[in-house]
Amino acid sequence: MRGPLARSSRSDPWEEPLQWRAAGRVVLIGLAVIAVYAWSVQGTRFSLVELVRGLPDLWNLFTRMVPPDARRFSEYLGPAAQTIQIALLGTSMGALAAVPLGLIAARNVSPHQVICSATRVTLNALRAIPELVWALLFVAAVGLGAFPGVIAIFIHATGVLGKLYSESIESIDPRPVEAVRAVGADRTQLMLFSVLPQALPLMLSYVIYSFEGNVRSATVLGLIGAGGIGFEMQQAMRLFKYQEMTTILLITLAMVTLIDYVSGRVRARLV
Amino acid sequence: MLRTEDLRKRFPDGTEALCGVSLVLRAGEMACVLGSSGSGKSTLMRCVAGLIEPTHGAVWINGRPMTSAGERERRRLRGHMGFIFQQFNLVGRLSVMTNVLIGRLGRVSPAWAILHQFGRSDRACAYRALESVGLAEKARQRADTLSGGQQQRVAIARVLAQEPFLVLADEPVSSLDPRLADSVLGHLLRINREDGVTTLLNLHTVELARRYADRIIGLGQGQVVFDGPVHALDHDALELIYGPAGETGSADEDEEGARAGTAREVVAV
Ligand SMILES: Nc1ncnc2c1ncn2[C@@H]1O[C@H](COP(=O)(O)OP(=O)(O)OP(=O)(O)O)[C@@H](O)[C@H]1O
Ligand SMILES: [Mg+2]
Repeated sequence: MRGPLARSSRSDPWEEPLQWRAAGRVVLIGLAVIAVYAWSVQGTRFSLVELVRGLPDLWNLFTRMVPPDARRFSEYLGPAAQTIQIALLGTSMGALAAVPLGLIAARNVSPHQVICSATRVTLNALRAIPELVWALLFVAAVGLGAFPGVIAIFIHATGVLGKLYSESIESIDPRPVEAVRAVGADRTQLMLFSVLPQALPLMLSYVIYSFEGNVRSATVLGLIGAGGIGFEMQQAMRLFKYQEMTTILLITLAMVTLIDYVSGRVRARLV
Repeated sequence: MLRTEDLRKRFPDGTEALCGVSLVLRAGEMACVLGSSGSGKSTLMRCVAGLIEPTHGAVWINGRPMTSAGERERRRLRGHMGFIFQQFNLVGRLSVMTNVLIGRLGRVSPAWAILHQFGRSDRACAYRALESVGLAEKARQRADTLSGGQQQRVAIARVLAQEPFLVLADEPVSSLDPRLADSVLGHLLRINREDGVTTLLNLHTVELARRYADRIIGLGQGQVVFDGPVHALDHDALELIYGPAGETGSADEDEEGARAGTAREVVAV
């Protein structure tokens, strides 16, 4: 609250009602947030009591998971590598396919307003559907294995990277672009000599970041039959081989950590 | 050489930047546009280069219509017109040499340029351009590692590589210190005198305009308010261009005040 002195020293007529309005807005937002959480707790039947009641079972599972059974350790390395291969192929294909789409979807270089909007909608759709759903579709269509996993990641990565590319391109400095236009360059030359040189480092760093995430996604895709280490995980779980499962989890952990570390280093050098 | 007829430009927000500019530039002229900030100098340059569309009127370059030309013809014309920007507008991540080679883009066959490859003669031409602004030893360096003055010289080399018949320079030296300004303007003057390249530039001080231009075109609120040889630029002419000297004028526009100030100082001398 402002003192009377402070109020008189400022003769801004808007000051007072604005503060009230701001306070009212804070209260409203607070109430809305509480309502949303209450709604979620109610909808999920989330209860601490249940959680506590489930603890013994959880402990029971844990004791059955240790010590890890590493007898088949080397047999899991192949599938782990396959998960990385799935992520690598899917991400790379997506990264290439996203280049033209990203260029078209970037408002500052897009050839046409309508095509631009249409591409943005398409990219959003590709992105909105999770890899898992694409993988389910393709497993149903072409059968179990790594191939549907690659396709699922490819499609999703195209959507994600297309969108991120277009944002990278929209953030470039327009002045060099105008300069290159001024020497009589055509559309392709404009892209190659002013747009891409500026946007490429950021685009590449997004590709690597997305590869990082796709290694995790590829692991999950295995759970529904799309190859890789996830598939082994699912098999072990189905056969109640919990100690083997621990080995698989540890391999996955090591793999994901390593990839994140390496790609983080590469990205730091790019930007 | 260059002719504009009744050029008008109204921006979507309603600003009337040009209100009927008709000009004729003869081959080999070095003409300088003077005008206070917001008078439409940049807009005029960019209309001439076909970088923006005038709302009305036409531009002819060497007798060819620019405004009504198709995109192909425009690109061809732009290829022969050099444009120098206040902020240099180099592609910072590319090498100095590639930036100069960009000046050749209007000439090379598109297929080659896709791989950032240029022919021997293009490279030679770019190298000569770079040599003539004294930056040949920087060819392999990234453009954004150069100082402002060096970057503007690279921009001039880029224009030279175009082998242009017309150079447009929009405040080429207003972000450079006076010594560098002289070096950059010296290069432009040399191109004009030695190669006979018609030049239309705008400068931020009357003093520089007097030193480098043959002809002064005064712009005020989107109209030509003065047009004459540099020696005709007297006190009255400056008042015409920058407004009455005694008046503080539009104090809300600092920049304009500063420029009019420059004009006044010169008049006082
Ligand atoms: N893209 C644009 N959209 C709207 N108005 C614009 C645009 N570009 C310029 N203007 C307006 O047009 C007028 C002329 O601008 P212009 O840049 O040509 O002036 P100038 O003489 O070059 O000024 P300065 O000396 O400051 O560079 C100004 O009022 C400016 O605000
Ligand atoms: Mg300007």
